[in-house]
Amino acid sequence: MPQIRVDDVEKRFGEVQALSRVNLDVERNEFVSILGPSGCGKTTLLRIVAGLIPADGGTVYVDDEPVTAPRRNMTLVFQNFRLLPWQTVEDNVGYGVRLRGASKKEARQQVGPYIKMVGLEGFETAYPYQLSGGMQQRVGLARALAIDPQILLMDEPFGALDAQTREIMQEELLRIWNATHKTVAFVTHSIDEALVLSDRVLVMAARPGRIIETIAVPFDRPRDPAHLRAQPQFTELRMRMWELLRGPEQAEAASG
Amino acid sequence: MARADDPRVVWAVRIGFAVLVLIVWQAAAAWFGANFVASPGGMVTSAIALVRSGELLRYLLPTLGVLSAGFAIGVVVGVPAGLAIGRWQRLYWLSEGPINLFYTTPMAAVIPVILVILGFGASTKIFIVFVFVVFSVIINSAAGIRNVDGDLLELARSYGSSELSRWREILVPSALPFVLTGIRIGIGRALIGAVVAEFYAGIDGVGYLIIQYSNRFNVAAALVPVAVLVALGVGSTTLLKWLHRRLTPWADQAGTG
Repeated sequence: MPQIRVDDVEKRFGEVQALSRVNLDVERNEFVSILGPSGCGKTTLLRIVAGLIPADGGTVYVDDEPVTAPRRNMTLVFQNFRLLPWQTVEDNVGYGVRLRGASKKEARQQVGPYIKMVGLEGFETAYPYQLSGGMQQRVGLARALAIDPQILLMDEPFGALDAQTREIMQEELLRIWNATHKTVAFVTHSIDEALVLSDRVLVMAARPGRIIETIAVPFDRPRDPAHLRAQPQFTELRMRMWELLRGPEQAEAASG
Repeated sequence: MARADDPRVVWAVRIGFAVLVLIVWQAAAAWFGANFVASPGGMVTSAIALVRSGELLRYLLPTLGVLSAGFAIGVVVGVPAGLAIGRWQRLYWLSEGPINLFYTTPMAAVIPVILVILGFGASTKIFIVFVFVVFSVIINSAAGIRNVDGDLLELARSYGSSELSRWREILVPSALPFVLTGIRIGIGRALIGAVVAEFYAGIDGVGYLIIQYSNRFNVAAALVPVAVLVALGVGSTTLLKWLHRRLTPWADQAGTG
């Protein structure tokens, strides 16, 4: 059975059909990207999967149970980091651990390996405002990993970072994924990012938001992004996704 | 960026201006006569006399008692009330109007009425100080909660947090700077409430001392307790600003969030 199953999910915001009959499966230990232009409902879809907002129709199943609220084995990484400004790096990383009943001190002891995993050793007692954007998202990632969830939901987690930092973070995520093999649903609007990271890419279109294509990414792991980008097959897939994203409706919408 | 502020220059400017004010003040007192303008020198002499005789302390102690009791109750009642009003929408709808009404009412105008109803004892004055303090504390505490970043509350929800943990991890630390600001505003209002209550009650306290000396045209002596009140207000406000910086080290730099 798939770990995440989205079954005929619909969502409206007033007059706008945000999601129209969306179906998808994510297998255990699979890395799936949801790729689409802005406004296609990909973030909405992820928020429904996370149990943050209800669907208007259809059902999301995680481990065969319908999702009605946030689940303990699933954590979300946000585009805008959402660190607690009044807490240090180690206490931010320990947030979920504390919510599961650990004291502040116990949580600090438990998060050590995760701080190391994201390369933030030596910054344990720094405050978020003292960190760069990339480092802040390392904290966000460590916080999500620290409760050892089976599923990571990532909502354009590197979207707020500059191009260089973004590529570094992609490599970090590949390395961490190789070590932990979480089930990942990763929302992005970057074709390159989706190809570098995923086993499978679901391409979405807007108005109404829907999945128009599923593309398997055939590259072996562990991956070296620089090497990957140089392969002809990478360029081919890139072109194909680009055509899908700018499909007939998009071209029509752009011309008014 | 502006040029670096050399603290020596900053203080030279401040002290220089203060000295200038004192010189002009002393000259004005000599020109108009001490009955109309108390000279700085005259005030120092009066202050020494008031301290030596024990009169200042005797009148100051009841004021301090009323102030600290009324202020403490105002904070202890105002902070939880404000936090609750900020968090629960229905409570907010219910209380917003009345609280703004009380906050904008010139409380000094109501003091005679309160004294007539409740009597002239210390507990009435404590109540008056409480009323002066509590609304600014409530309003600012509620604003602190309503100002909480919705994204952080959603983060909490996505981690399956309880309401209690939301208070501890997010709501209280986020509202803290607002709460401290409300308390700081409350200090100034507490001083006004205490002194005006003593003007009317006319039994003891520095307010009564000020009235007594003013009625005898001893301006210099009347201004001594005023100076004490100023020192008290500035001192506690400075202490609170320091506390603010200590408790919320992130707040100065985190402006852009």
